Amino acid sequence: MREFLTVLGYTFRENARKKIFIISNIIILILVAVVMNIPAAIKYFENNDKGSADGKAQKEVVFVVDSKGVYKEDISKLGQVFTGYDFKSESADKLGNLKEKVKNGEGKGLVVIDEKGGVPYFDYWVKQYGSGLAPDELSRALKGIFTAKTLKAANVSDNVAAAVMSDVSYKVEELGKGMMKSYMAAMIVIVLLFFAVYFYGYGVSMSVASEKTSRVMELLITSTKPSKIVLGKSVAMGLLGLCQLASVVGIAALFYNLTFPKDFVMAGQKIDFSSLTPFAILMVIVYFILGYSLYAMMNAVAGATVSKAEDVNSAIMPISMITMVAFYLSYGSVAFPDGGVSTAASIIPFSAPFSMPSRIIMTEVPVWQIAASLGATAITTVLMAWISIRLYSSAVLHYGKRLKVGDLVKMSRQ
Amino acid sequence: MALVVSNVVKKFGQKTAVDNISFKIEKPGVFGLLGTNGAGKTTTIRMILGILSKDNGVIEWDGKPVTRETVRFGYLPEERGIYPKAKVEEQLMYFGKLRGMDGKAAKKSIRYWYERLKVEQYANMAAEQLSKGNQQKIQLISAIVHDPELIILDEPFSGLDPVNTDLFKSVIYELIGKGKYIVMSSHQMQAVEEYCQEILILKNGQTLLSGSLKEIKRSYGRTNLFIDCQDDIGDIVKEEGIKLVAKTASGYEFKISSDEQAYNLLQKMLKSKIPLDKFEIREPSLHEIFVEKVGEQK
Repeated sequence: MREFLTVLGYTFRENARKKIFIISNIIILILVAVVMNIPAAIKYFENNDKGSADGKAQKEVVFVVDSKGVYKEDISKLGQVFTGYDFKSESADKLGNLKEKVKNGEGKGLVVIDEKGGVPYFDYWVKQYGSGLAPDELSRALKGIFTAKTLKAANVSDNVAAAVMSDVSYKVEELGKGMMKSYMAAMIVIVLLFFAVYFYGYGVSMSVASEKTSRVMELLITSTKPSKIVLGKSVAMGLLGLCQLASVVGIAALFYNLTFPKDFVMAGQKIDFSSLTPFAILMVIVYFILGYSLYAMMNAVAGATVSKAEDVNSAIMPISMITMVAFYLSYGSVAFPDGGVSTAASIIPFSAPFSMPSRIIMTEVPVWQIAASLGATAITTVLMAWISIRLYSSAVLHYGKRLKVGDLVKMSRQ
Repeated sequence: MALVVSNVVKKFGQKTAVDNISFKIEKPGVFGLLGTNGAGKTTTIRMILGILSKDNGVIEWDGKPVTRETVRFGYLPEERGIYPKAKVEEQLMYFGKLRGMDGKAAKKSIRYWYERLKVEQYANMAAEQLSKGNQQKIQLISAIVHDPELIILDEPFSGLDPVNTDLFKSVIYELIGKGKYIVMSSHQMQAVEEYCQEILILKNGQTLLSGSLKEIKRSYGRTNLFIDCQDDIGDIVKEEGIKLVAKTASGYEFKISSDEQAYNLLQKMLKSKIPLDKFEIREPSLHEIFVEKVGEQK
């Protein structure tokens, strides 16, 4: 135990003190702080923009050609719907000229209204799709004006007309876990888990390989048991990862409480972390530890199979592939948390550390599935640790060409 | 206490790296493991340390297999076995603690060896900033910091200047004085000759020669004659049928078949009043034995 702690302490100190670790940590924390403040900044500028729009801001011009007189003077009502725009009626013979103006940016759009079978329809030109008024909004507004006009022509009373015109209002409330609300939280959690597991696992293999390169390895394994080296090193890197995760989450939480606008909406979704219950957070930590340990053990062997630190990347390729597949499976778990693939992915040990936490955040996961997943992952981790300690001791002293899987199997039998 | 290596074999695929070698170290002192590059010295050392598994044979300390539990051993690997980026003192403390020392004892021992090897000033520097010789000193400290009983030194003098070689030698004498069992591999025959009572010469994994250095030399007989004089003695030597091996800046080196041959030559030289600075009949040096033994098998 003492030697294990010695390896742990030394590895932790040496790595935490590395310039690259400190600098990257500072950069990550600054980035997190910046990202967390972006919504507040957006809100701030939006409010400023609104302020100027209320004043004497220039309205955008949209040209309207209604040569058949479908709407006549009612066309001016468009200006009441879209207050930021000035709708200018033009005659059909200027069409080419108007298109040119839209292209040059002098007008934001050109609407040419026609009629087919007694129903209005329009052609719409913009500089680029997505700039200016959205066509469906324009269509809705034109329909409204047309309906009002038609009802009026049919001598329908104003209050009937108003009733017909009104939209059916609705409200949606989720009774289970809020899928939409949880989405962001789940995505953030899997990205964090992925980076932590991947990069700290990589750190383990780099550390093993560099000890091999400098031949410190020979001294280490004559000083203490290989199992203590592998485990001490892996736990140290894992703790370092946890510290970094904690600092990232801490900074994010700080700014979330300080500056983050509570009603901020991104891609139509409110950012909300209420689905991160204490149980979910506990599970995220448990799965980080399990997932990290599992991948760290594999990475330690990968690091031991090469002679030079430069070869680590190619040695960990198979592990990176597994991590990638597991990561994308967890994407699936966010989208369809109750699907068969997601259920399987959250129990299979290699993908469980990413899939299960996101499912727990997204939906109600049956207890047996959580138990099966934890059990399978823990057993695989222990098994992997056992294999990797066996392989590590024989692989660390192999110099020369990189060891293949076949060589490793042969070694483990010795 | 004794280190016994008997009938040890190590194969790498088809190649036999160490072929049935045996030796014993029964009392404190230095055992010399000699051989050309690739002869199997480091492989033997690694098997003693348990880093490599052996395919056959027995390696025992006091009748028990050599493991970390049965004997405290120290190891100076041939290639630099230090963390290049870590501070000297921190890694020495690390290795001390890994081998079961508590912090206080480790610090005390490190201080002692710092002073002994004159490296106190590097304690807080990264190892890679040190010269090759100083790195070797740090490595030596890391091998002996925990006061091991069995010390294995693989090419301890490589990269050392004469001053530091002497410093290393004095440390090795100190260790012998403390009753340590030392296995040393080296190419520097002079150094080995200085304090190895027993040697083993390896070639391609096989034992060429082994036993007490004194006896080996005696078995060769006193076959070397060294003469230092200013005059040309080529003709007289030729008359005696003595073979010239080399003419160096310091004198002549001859091979003789018996002591009589040398005495006859000496009488003739004295009769001819040739001024003489040095006249020495001696056993061949380990260097010569090594070159002859290893060379004759080629």
